[in-house]
Amino acid sequence: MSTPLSVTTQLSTSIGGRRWLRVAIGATLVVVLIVIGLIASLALGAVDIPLVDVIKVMTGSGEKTDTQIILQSRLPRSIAAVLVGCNLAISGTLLQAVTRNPLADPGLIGVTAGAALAATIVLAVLPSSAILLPIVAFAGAMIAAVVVYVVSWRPGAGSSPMRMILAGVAVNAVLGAVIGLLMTAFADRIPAMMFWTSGSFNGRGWGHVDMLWPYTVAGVGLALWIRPRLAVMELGDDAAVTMGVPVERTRLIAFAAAALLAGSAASVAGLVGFIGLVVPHLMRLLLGGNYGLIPVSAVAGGALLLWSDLVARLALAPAEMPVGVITGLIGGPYFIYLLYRARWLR
Amino acid sequence: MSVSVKDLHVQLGSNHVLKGMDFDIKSGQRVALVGPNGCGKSTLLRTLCTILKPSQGEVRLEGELIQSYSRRERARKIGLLSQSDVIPMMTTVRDHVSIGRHPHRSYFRDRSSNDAAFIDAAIEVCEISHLADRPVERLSGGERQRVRLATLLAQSPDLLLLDEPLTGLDLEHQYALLHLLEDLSQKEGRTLMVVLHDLSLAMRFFDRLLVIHEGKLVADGLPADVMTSELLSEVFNIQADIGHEPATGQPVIICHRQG
Repeated sequence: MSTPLSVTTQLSTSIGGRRWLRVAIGATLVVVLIVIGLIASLALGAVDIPLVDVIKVMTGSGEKTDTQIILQSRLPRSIAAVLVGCNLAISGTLLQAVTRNPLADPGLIGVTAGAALAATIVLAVLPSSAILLPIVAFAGAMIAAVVVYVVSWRPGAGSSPMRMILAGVAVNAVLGAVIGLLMTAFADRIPAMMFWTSGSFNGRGWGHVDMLWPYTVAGVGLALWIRPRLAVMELGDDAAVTMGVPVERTRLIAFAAAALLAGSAASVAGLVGFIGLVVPHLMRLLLGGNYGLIPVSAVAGGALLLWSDLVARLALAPAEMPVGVITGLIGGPYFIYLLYRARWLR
Repeated sequence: MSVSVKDLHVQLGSNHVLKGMDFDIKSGQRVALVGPNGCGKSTLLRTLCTILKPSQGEVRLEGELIQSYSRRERARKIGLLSQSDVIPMMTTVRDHVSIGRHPHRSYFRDRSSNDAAFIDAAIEVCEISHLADRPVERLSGGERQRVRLATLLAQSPDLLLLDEPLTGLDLEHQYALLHLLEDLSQKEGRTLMVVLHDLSLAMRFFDRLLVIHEGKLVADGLPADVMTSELLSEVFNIQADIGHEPATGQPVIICHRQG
């Protein structure tokens, strides 16, 4: 610390160059995974369709049966899986940034438990109205998120990451207790509830895709908009204020975007764990930091869930497993492996 | 950058922390804030950079009310090295320091060559070049303090507020920082307000002392005029004399055994 600040030095562009290369390689890798996963999802299933016939269908010259299977069933289901994975991954990335908590995921802010309780009520009390599940689950997710934010708010002080986490834990505990109560009272309907709470894309069609994509577009847009501010907020609220960041507004935007993304995902696929928590970590390890994290995480979340759904469909065919089981089985061990290798966390 | 504080009161909950403070600081001055724990030093710095809102009174920068500046304008003029040690996840030293450029960036001009020059200079000045690619969470407390200082320098504000900046630094880096602060004010004309607990260092390296006690400014002036045995007794509750090092003539506080 012996020279004054105004010293001008040679610009070091090599680090920036390496970063771009790493992000480009990471993004290419996950996009390739999605493309291969999409092709496999369209071709494989209860009826295997040769690749040539898949191409014919996609170019409008396929047979009627193949066209129906691919365009009405497998394609919308695969796109729904990509969008849900994308939504959950961005939601987790946003929450980990604003709460400065590496364990933050959509479950932390009550969204998951809110959706689960609303779905459980429908499945237990109004099983004949299962068609209402997506909209009711979304409403439940939003109500729970609003409650968590309001509880974490203090007049004059605003919200804080710590109060947000504690409020999320409290709301999750209460909602979890009510879900347990309902499961006890309606024990005969537990299988349907369990299947929903483990997540599935069985029977998801274009209507579900239409429910998802506006949230994905809006969520990605909001996340990219506030991305520079989120990086500053990771240094703490005081540092962010002194860097000119509107902390409370940014936290509210991130929280709202995360809730909408996770709520829309839960309303379509049920509860798919692991993606929101682990994908941002996996991508940080791959990218070597936060640079380019949001877009690459979004694509990686889509790729992981697409492949998980494919395995869920094929592993025990013709029976289908909940996709949440697969995401946990694939991602958990891989994450542990990376934790052992990662220089960051030694 | 000149600072003017008039009748400043700050209340945190039911605690009236600052009870009416008035002072003016000229551009390029090097001011040490001293006082016992909990007297309001950090609260004053946090109020000057708008983290806290005063319950009464006003703060002016170059004659303009601080609220009249936009957030980004303020951030380009005032920087704070706070006591909090929040460690961001998986962030390299260079990334941490580059965050200091946030107030100077626009959304569509994320980084510029000018940015890189400031970041490189701050990293070099704080002697953390060898740590640039390492994650902040794996550094020692003193190294992290130098990273946070480099981030503040990359921000390049005209008014630097430093809250106990020597915390965690070894003796070599304490003196290096104090000499750097001298350079920043003398060569670059930056204004400095620094909270210090080492009164001898405060007297030696700063050209003005503000002594705060129980939320009030109780003394303000040249170190040699302000620091007296009476003040040490009244404010810090110690029996001490002001002596001078035989070799250099620098002032030192000589404490007597209490009781």
